[in-house]
Amino acid sequence: MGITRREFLKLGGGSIAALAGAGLLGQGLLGNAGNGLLADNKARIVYKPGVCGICEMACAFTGIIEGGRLVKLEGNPLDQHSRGSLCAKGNAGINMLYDPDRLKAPLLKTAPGRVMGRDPQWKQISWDDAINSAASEIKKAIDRYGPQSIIWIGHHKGNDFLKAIGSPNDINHQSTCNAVRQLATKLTLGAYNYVPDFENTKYIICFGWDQLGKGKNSLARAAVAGKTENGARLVVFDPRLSTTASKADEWIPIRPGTDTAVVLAMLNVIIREKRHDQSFVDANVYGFAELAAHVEQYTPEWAAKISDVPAEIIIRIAREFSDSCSAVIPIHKREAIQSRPGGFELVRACLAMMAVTGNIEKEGGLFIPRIASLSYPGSPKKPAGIKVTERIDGGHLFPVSVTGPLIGPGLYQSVPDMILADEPYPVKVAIVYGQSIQSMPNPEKWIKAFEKLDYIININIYPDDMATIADLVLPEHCYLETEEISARVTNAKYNQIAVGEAMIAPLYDTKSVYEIKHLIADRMGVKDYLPPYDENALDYKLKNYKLKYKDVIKKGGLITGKKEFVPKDLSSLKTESGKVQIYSPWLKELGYEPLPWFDEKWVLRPQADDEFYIATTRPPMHRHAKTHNMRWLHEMMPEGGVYINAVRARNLGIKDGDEIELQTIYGSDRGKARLTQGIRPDTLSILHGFGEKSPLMKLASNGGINDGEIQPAFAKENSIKLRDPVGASMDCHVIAKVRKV
Amino acid sequence: MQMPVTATIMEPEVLCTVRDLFRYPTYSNLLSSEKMFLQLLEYAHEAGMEKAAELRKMMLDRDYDLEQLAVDYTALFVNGFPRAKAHPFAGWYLGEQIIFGDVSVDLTKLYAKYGVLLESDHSLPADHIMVEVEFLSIMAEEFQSSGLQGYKEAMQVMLNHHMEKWVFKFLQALAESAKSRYYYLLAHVLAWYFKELIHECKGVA
Repeated sequence: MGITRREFLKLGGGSIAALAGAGLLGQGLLGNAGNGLLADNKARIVYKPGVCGICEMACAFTGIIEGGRLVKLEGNPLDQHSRGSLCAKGNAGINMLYDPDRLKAPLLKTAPGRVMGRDPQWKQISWDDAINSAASEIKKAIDRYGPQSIIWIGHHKGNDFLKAIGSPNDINHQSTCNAVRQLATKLTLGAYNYVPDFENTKYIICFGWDQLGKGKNSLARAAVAGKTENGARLVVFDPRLSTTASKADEWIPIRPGTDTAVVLAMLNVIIREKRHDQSFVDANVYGFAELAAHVEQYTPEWAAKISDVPAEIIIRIAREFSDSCSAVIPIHKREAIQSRPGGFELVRACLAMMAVTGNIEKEGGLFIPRIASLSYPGSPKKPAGIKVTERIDGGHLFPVSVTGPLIGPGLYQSVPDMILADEPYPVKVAIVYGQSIQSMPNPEKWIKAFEKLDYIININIYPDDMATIADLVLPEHCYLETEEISARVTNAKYNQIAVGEAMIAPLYDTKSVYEIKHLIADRMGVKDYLPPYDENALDYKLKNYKLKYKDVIKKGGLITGKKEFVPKDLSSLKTESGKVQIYSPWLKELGYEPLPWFDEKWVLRPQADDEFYIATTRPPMHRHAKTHNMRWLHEMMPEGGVYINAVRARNLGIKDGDEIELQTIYGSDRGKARLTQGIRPDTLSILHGFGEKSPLMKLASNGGINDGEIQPAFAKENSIKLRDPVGASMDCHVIAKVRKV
Repeated sequence: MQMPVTATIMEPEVLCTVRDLFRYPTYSNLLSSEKMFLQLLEYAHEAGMEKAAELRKMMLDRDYDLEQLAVDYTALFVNGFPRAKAHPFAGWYLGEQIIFGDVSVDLTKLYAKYGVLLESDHSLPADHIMVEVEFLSIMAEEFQSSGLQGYKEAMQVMLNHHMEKWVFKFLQALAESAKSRYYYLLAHVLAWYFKELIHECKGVA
């Protein structure tokens, strides 16, 4: 190869020779703002519609590109999710795009062994070599151990790839996140989610729900609008004074893990005092008679002893809720839902309370989301099918969660135990997408499990802790470098689709996860078993609307349906009975309780002077472990901490800012104490997502306590013993000891 | 092309060779710039730079491990542990430590002032060492062919008002962090080179 003098630069129209010809030389070019002969260096401003990729709200935005550089992201005012503004995380997406620490090329680990946080001695390799290596290792494992020995961990992105190769192991983190909410809602309403109509409601009860504190823009703003503009009464049950609780009319510091008892007691009051909407129940609810008989045992006095919520408050709130012309109980995820036993029952009980008071498919109550449909092409050839249906996450033992080999979330927290025990079979190759070890419950166990594998492929954006133990790292585009089409889901009151384009061309030698899957599948000879991925894929998604991707982009990136609220027919839901399913014969058949229930044995009790419940929360400017290396967000909150009651802290000799150690039977970690009056004396609250141990994440490294270090990663037998239908992670079901370091 | 006895390390081919020293170390990349690089090293040695002699011998004897160079290159310039140890762009040393930051934007304007634009199918920022050195080589080439003082002025602005502020910090980081002898020596040779280049560019009539 000879020397190529001009590879990165070229001469433009305004060369110096041209200037000389025009008699302009000698005037000094330094400081010359441009005289028309020089190449145009005025910054050109371009506006492009985009879709945020930081969280599942997928807010629509407009990107402002100046001189080829993305400089700002503004929420799209016509999007029912963003409503014209992006949260701190969305705004800081630019930091992710221009982070010099981002992965830039495929990397091969040359250091022997797998030690998290140790120099992997990466060698940059070509995509060709990387794909060859990935395909070869996957094929080797399949030939020797079967396709089930391949697992994909992360966000369902590998579902089609696994189908193509015949593996059932689509592992995702939902049992630590929203599986409980989704599956309980699916059972009851036939939909995986519901939309609280805050703006029109008169009464809101929250059980740990804190979207004001977490910065989920759409939900937070709607809740505030309901309270301030519609005069809704806001009541919050939470062991700590969350941001939402601080804006509430009433904050009730409930004992952790007892929310279900309180809701069942409220149902007792509502039904006993005949405050329910009988006509609504008769027309739309299955199982009311069974529920009425069932809740007789759950008296307010009984619930008061368990929950520390006085019986008179339970009774009053139940009456207020049922007397309101409209009322709603929002449910998100984590908090009271998946972090302790009984979360599935809590969601069902809350839905039952809204059902018996007639607050379903009613303004001011809850809506079933109006999700616009998108089209997805099938694969050119039908894959052979999944022969081994047992899964490495135990999901096959939980038919409420997993209804088919690749359908439904299993028990994320149980995966390390099963890998270590080769149960139900050995796993050899993992493809890990978008998962950080730091955010996994009990990371030590996960690391041991990963050490056992023959090969790990990590598809990632950052060189985080997972990247340091992977054998092969494949760099993905940042979401700002890709197109996206996203139907509104989480807060979808009407059909709407956001369509976004790439803000700029990819900066580095990265690829999309779709292209990566296709390249590997092609090398393995199974590409035809994957749906096609080409320039027509975007248009195909919008097939139903007879619109082309480029046309929607030109018109601002949103497709919006009719906004008028028309209640859905509640006699043809996708439930067992077609109605709102409060009593489930299917659950009974499977050996579970057919009605929401509560077991006092679920409740732990701190005993010693240094023992506490733990609760976790997320700050509004961070999302799990994904955002801590984003400089603006890091500047706002560089370090996590542990909220502890000021009086208890004083008794333990702890001052604000002191380094403290939390110890459970699962592990220990250290962080800074943040004293507050706004938390139950027996409860600690830990900010999730901090404590990154990888020095590769130069901003995020060692930013405080990692809740995962002290949390359990329960084996599946635990969920079976507790008769939990969906295998929630229950990662706060532990007592922690605290001491000053 | 033989390096002229009277010197000039400002020759466009020499500048291109320096640019190409920051390519990924494959045999073909090393070979393609080897001839001119060896001449440059000989010239440097004659000027009193001892490390240049060592590097020259290493190149002639092929006394380097390509695998080691690839790992070192990755750690120094791409993705390292805990980070790329010698980020090869000016913004890291001068500005906000982000890629495509204000330093890159300012340089794009500077290039445009002298009639040079970034190629759209390359994604290196304007302040990447390879792009900056290529700019110098283009200006040197245009100066050679036209004699117009504007091109010399462009090189002086680039070197004295910009590169001098960061390139030595970059090369120091490279020297301190390199695990291979090759990149360690290269850092020292290039530090000598840029010092001479800045000096020579000031003195060109």
